[in-house]
Amino acid sequence: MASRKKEDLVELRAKLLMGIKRSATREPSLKLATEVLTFLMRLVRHEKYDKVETLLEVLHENGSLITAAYPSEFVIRNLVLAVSKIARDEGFRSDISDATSAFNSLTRLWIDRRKDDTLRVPLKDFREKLIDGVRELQTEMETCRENIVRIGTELISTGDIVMVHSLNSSTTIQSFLKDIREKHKLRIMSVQNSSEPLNNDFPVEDYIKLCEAATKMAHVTKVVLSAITVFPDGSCLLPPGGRSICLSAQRHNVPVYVLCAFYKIAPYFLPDPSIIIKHTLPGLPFGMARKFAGRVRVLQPAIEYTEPGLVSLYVTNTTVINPHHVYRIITDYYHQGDVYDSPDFQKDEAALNSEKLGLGAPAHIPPVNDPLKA
Amino acid sequence: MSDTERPPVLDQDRVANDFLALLRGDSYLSSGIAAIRVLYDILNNTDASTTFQVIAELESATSAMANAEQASLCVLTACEIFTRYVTLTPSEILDNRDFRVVLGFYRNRAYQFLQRSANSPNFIARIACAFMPRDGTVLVHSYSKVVLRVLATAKMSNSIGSKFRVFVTESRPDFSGRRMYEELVRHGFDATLILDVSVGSLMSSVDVVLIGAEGVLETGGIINKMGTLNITDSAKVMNKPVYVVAESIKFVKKAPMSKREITHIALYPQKPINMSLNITEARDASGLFRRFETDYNNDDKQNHYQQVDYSPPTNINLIITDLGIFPPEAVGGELVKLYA
Repeated sequence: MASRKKEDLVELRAKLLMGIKRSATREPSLKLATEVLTFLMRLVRHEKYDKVETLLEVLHENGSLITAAYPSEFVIRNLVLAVSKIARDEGFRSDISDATSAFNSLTRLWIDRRKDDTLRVPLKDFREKLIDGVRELQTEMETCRENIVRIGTELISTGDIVMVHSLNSSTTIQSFLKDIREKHKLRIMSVQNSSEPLNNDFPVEDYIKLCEAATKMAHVTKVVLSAITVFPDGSCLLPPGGRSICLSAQRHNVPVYVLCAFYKIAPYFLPDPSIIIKHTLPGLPFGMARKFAGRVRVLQPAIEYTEPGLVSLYVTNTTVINPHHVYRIITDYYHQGDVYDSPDFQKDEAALNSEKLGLGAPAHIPPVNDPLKA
Repeated sequence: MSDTERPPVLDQDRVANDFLALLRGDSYLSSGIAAIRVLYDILNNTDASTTFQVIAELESATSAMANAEQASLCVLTACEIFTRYVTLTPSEILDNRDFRVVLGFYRNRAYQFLQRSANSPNFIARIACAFMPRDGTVLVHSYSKVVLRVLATAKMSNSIGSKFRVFVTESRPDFSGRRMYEELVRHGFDATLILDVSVGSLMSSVDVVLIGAEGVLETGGIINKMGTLNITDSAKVMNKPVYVVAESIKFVKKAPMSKREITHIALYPQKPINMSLNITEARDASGLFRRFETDYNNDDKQNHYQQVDYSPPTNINLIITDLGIFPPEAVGGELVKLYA
């Protein structure tokens, strides 16, 4: 019975990955997020574990397999970390009753997280609590679009001229615009790539090209964009063209509102944006390929990195937040132990021993004195 | 022993000597960690019978070390955080009549703290080496043990690759940059020694700026060797990322209002510029190279220089510590937790 379930899990994982591969263009992230979370829910339900530590290992193993297949889709990584945090919270909560005293919080800050013994205690009802936690996350995900729309529309008023980008690929922006159009009388300007089809079932007054965005910015009062990922320092990844729009908006002092659901906010940083930039469309038109082959390289990045100073506000499904304060909501969804103490680090630790580096051993640690015999 | 009977006065010279011996024994040991080691020994050998006496002993040891030769801001902050951490106890233990139980508890805490702090440079190096460029240039300033460890780890770590080259500023007048340069060459880096004044013009060929800190302030700004402000300002103008690596024992709970307060916080004495340096190869008024000799009085109070400067948080991209990676704005929040 257990082995059959294990095969099912492998099959589920393969199905998930094939589903992502099959889509030709970048799909709205909510679909991907829902699929990943469904997979994680099945994992939580059917895998064998009775301790938090075992579950975290299982999560890590499966998580690293699916993220390795699509390293540039941060949503997958974020959701695995979010479920891991729920697991740690459930494990921790059952063990310590008085979690809010100054002593405990400072101790928790300093205790070596890898040796945290609370994770090894077997727990009753852990599975049920965990399933409840993941179900809450699923509910939050189902309602996140309505919440973003509800919170964000308070930022727009009648008579505004709103510039949007990536209307075709972002269902969040589509719902957002539908909602504000019902409430206010305003003009919408949509920046389109020439190759994208016009979205005819959605009324937009002006369709402009990216090259015209800078000149039209003088008339625009608000800019609304949709993020791909948001990092804790307030920087984000936007669809291509987003950064140029932010720069023009800065020049004309136009506020830029970026919509992002909670699963797009990542707890880790991206050291070098160029490593995850994938290029989408073929660079050269087919007819020119023969003439230019080997001589010209045309870059068509799928993602652009934007600094925190270029965004005015992030609109999430729970709150509107200043880019410089994004790190404060990270702790609601993620646990530090997952971000900094992954087993991969431990593998490297043995290799990166100080003595091998030639930098001397760490300060000599004396043996522990028995306090009562001292 | 009654409560009124005070423990023997701490021998300040012996403490200072122990501290200096530790530093001399291991040249890669950070002075903050050495200070904590000394305090740990004092705590293990103490005859104190109340918490007040323990704290008094630790504080007197702190001032002994602060007045020692190789004192730095990080000694003071490390000792303060150590004392706070060790003496923060839940009330059930404090109410115990037998002070040996409380003392035992303190010693346990001290051991945990020491273990964690001693490993913090390794942890920082692990998480920071992802930020080093694959095939680019890193600019470092003066001599910093943590920065050296980060670079060495990045070089060894297979996933990053090791082709980046390093620019080191000479950092006059004590030439600490030269020491860093020699270490880097010894570790096999493609290192280049540059003049402090050439940082502005060379910033365009740099990809990442990596600096250590003597102290990280509540604002998110840092105190570091003089010259850091020039570097971070140029980096900001040229949009180059500035990463600061510092252990959490360097966090200072102070927010400076003016440049004068930096001196006060840092407690670094102003040093006189060595005016009797022979400056060779300078052009004189007729355009010929001549050998100049200066003959100034070293006691002239005007020609002193500040050893450290303050770089504001707006110049810094990320601060990488053993508590995690933060944007500078988040430092204040973490400090509150440390000092709560």
